[in-house]
Amino acid sequence: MTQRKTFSWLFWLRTLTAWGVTFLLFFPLGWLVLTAFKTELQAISVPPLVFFTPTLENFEIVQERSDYMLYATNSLITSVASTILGLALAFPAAYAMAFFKGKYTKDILMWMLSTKMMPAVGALVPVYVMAQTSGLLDTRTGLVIVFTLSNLPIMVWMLYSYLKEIPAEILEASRMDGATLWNEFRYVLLPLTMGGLASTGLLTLVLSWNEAFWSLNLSAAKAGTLATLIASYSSPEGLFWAKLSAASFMAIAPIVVFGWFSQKQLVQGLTFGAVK
Amino acid sequence: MSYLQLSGVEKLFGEHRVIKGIDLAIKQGEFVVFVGPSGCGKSTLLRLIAGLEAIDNGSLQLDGRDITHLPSSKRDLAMVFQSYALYPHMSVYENMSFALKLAHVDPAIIKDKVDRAAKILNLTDYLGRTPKELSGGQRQRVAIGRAIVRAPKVFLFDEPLSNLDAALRGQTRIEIAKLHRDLGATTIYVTHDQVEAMTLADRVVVLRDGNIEQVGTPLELYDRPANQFVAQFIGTPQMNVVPAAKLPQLTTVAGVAVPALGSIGLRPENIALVAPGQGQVQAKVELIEALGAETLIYVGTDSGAPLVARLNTRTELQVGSAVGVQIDGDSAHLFDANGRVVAAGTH
Repeated sequence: MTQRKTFSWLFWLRTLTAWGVTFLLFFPLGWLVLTAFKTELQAISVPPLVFFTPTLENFEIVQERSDYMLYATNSLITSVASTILGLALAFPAAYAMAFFKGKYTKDILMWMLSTKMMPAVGALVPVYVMAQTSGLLDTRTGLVIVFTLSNLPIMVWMLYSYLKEIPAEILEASRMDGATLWNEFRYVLLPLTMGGLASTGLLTLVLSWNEAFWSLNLSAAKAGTLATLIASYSSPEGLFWAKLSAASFMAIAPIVVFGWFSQKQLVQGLTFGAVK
Repeated sequence: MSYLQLSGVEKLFGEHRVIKGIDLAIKQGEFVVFVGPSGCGKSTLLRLIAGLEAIDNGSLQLDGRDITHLPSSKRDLAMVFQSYALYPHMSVYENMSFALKLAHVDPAIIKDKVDRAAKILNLTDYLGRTPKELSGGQRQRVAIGRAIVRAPKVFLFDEPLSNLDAALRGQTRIEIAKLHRDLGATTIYVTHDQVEAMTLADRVVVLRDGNIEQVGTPLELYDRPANQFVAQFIGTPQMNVVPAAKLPQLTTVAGVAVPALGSIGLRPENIALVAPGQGQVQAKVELIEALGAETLIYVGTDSGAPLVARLNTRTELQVGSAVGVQIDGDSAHLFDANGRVVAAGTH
């Protein structure tokens, strides 16, 4: 009986903690959504308003002042293109490292990861100068290249951990069965890594969509992504809370909806290796 | 006329020579078993033939064609892997038909061939299942089926039975032997189990440290081993090999005078245990293994040499009993100090 009591006490504690953490994580986002529907005055009122009459004026103003569709298109194109390009580069790299392990494979993997340990700003000047001299500043091509490169280490690592799980003998069996490299990829490797490719792609898509540092620094009016749209409503004085929130709301809405529908693959990808 | 010809085949892993110049001729339809202790290079040699590892020196010819540097996919060989290596995302039917599909064989012919192979292997009811819905023995049969559907020039087996339990292993061994008899296909089979080697092979190739120690029919290897390694590797329990100094009573073996530094090899069935005081050597029983049909008796001689005798009868002896040991010198083997055979006994 006592045991049962402890159990239910623990159960409530765990449930409350889980809800607490979830609330903490969700609060800024929820507040942002609320603020997006307030007037600027309501947005800065003290004490903060929870109940108010929602208005769509912020969205109208944001759409008036800046072309949402242009930024959204830029975001869509850069994130999709960099994801496809990244997969095309990362898959062969991960394949080579998983199945043709050399003396330095582990070192190369570590080196790739180590590039993510440096803050991006450390490479800002050289990347900026390169983008400028090659005429890629404020172009979608430039952003695609930079997004791809910055996501590549994580993509290689994720795909590597998927491919590593495939027994090499299965690939050898396909070679004995007469499969060329293309057949091997098409009929054996691809079906077996579809889940891994999907979750790697989804994660990269989200990362590229939300990428702010490089798009802020390398793009402006022409190639700017939604991240730059949001940033244009932030000022040091914090005057446009409601419009900033509306812009953010519009920027994250597509990827949140996308993430909602692909959450199963995403979670699988992020916890891969942890549960196996 | 050899069908598969290995000439001076070598494999290097870095500086290390793992396969040290193998010459071997295999006839069409022959069942050849590579056997040896782990690390002897038998699996590597099979992978060289399969094309899964590159041959560094020497050449490989199949049916009059040089295939030394041909990729696996073009060699027309089929392999059964130790782990079966079935395609997990394909049904049994797709697994078995994969090679034919890649070769663009007419689907009607594919179906016919797969159905026939499935019938031989008792897999007809399982063609729609995926590998994970099958038992170990069934997976094994699918792996074999995948190989026979193609009718390749040579079948390669890499320790195919080592993942099966003992009962199933014995049963599958018989099935493989039967299959070879029915299909008459040239087969190379790798195992570390000398019983599999003895029961399946037309010829056995004993390997050690990347070298061939001896090639011969199972009974040739048993009766006339080329050296002490082969003598002790083939046969269970192992041949007794005793330094000549510990058996001074035996002065000639198979008609040859025993050299002082040599060793004497005695098959367990060639040792008879007699009443104490009789026989050439006196000993004490240390362990008795009663297996029913046969009894293994481990004794220690007065000179300190351990011997094992095999009887086809039950025994009255007890651990600790004193016994006399009667050795048949004519059937014994004699090895020199380097383990080479000086004289082989008669059987």
